[in-house]
Amino acid sequence: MKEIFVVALLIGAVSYFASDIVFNRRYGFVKYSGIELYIVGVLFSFVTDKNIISSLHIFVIVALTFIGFSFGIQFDRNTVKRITFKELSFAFLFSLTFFVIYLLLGLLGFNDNREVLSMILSMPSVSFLFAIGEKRFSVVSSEISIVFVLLFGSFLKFGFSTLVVFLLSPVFAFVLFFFEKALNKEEMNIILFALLLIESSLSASLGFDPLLSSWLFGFVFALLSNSQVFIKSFDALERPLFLSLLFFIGANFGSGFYELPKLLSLILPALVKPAFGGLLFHSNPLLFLPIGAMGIAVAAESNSSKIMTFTVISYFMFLFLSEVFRRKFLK
Amino acid sequence: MIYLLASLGFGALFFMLKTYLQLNSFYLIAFSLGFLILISFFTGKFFSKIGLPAITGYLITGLILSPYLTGGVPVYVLKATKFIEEIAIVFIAFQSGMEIELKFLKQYGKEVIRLTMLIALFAFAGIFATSLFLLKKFPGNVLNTSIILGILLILKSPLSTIAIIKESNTNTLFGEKILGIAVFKDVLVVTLFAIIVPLLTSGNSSAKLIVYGLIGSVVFGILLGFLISLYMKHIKAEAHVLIFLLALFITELSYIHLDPLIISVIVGFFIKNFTVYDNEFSKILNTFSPILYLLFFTLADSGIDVRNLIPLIPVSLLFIAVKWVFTMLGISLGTKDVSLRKYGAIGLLNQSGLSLALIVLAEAAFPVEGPIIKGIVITVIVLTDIFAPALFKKVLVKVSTEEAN
Repeated sequence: MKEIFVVALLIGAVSYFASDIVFNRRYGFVKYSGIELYIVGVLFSFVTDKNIISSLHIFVIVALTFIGFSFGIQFDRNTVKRITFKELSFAFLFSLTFFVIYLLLGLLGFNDNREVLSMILSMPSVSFLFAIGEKRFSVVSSEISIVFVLLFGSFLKFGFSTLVVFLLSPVFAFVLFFFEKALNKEEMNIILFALLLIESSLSASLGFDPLLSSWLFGFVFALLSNSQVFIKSFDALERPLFLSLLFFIGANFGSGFYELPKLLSLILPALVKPAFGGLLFHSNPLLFLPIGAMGIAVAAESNSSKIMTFTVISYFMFLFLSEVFRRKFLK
Repeated sequence: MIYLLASLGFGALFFMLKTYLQLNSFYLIAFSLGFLILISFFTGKFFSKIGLPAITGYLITGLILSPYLTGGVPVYVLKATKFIEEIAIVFIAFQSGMEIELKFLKQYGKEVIRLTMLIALFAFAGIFATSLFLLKKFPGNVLNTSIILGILLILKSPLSTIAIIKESNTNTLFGEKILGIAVFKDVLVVTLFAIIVPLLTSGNSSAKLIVYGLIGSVVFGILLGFLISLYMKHIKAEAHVLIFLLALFITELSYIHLDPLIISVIVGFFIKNFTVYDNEFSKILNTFSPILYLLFFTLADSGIDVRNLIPLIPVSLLFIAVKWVFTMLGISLGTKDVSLRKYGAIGLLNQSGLSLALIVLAEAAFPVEGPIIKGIVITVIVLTDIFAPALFKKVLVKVSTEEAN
């Protein structure tokens, strides 16, 4: 298994470097989309056993906790202090509105996993908004709205057991904080890595949302301490983790393919977000087209090939559209 | 004291949660690995505080939590995490290669090679003679057993050498020479093994294969080093992803009879001495190496069933003593360097992990003599892992103080 995995990763790396040359600077967003890793994943799905692919799920759970934690530590004390009531209430309304809309739309034809689909579709792409120089209000509100969507989804999926996460995750943050003064940066990274491994396995086996629990871990730690120590390390990890998720989603291509026409019909309701988003934020509606990294993470967490295939195809499609209209976005 | 308490506390929590939660095998891998890192890390910190090397703490944690002692880490978790050990070897070998400077080789290369040859010759002679005398009653041809044991017990671990040098925070000529000898010993033993084993088993196809492996590994190492430097020159982006993928790739090259260890050392050596990207490469290695070091040394001995090794402890201790005495003899004949003559034999005591890889080949080539060779070599590795790093660290600090004065 490992040999195929290594070969596939190498093909991915080579195709990534090739894409670096092919796309050059003319197609910035497409270049960073990670499409080559997805394609390698799809090819991998044809040459390997389904059991092997499903055994990769544990690595995905670990990657998700890293992504969740990395998102959580961005809400440090200074950032939280600067969040206005307007941004908070806006984010709440934005996330609730779209989450409910998509939940209701989901009832029309996609009863299975409708809460996951609602989560994915109602999450904005923060990095995209940031990259095109959108105003602070939109960026911050979008970040907070992702947290609300995670909360809504988690309560809907796991019910009140979600509350246990609010007790468990801070324990990890306190453990990390306890050793902060005694250890240096490298050593703290080791402790964090170990704690995230433990947290990922506990969340997965106890039936909690790994993304939400690790976000909470990162958030509580950022409030307690100087999280800047970790932000740099996580910056370096962010892209490899994202690329691994795309590879995993590609590897789960199989059954999702046959449902593709039905799934693609969901793209129409997905357009609700840009329409309403434009009205709410008084911005170009196309800004709210792309599905972001967190949407991809939620899709990977679902472990449903249908959801994953739909999400990633929408992600590439919206990204491509955004690329076409890119000149319009740049101010 | 807080580190010891943390280690014990996490250990207790690990066993408690493991029993109470009954995690499925998938999740138990991440769960065990997480706790293994925490327990090992704090044991290492405790050892550092009391003046011993952290890696001794990691090794002891691995032994204690092994499936055969406390059963903390199940066998299948060790199997599932085997690839971590393999990647760690590549990373540590990259760093070993980067430690060998051309300037050092030009200045001390001849001395180091001459010393390596002498030490190897004496250590081999001592172990060979002891083995001939002690292992007569064991099954198989005692001559074969003695030759193979003699070759395998020459080895000294470059991986632990580099770890201890880094940990001791010293920069001594003595340390550099010991590392140089350790690396040359690896090359010498792999070459000897390639020539002697086919001669003893009267086959030559595998000899050709091993010689091809040696030359191929060197060529491949140079090629990879060149490709990495090209990448760093022209693309740069995501270099740490590339290096990690390459490490994974190198671990797989043993399937085509190339040696991942030699390839990695050559890559490091090439980048250090023939490119201008050594600093960038070193930075990338440093992002991964702390966690990989810890995991490598924790997992290294955790797969060994120490219960089977207990009867072999007296004979293995004798072999360690013989290796030490004869190494000292080789050093005193080969150099006038005072530090090396005084402490060199202690620095060269730690047995190499490479012997674990060569045991597998020896077992296949000598099915009858294999088990006793394997038993003794593994016991020597475990025993030297416990005390040799601590002695080497002490010696390094001492030499560093003496050189400063």
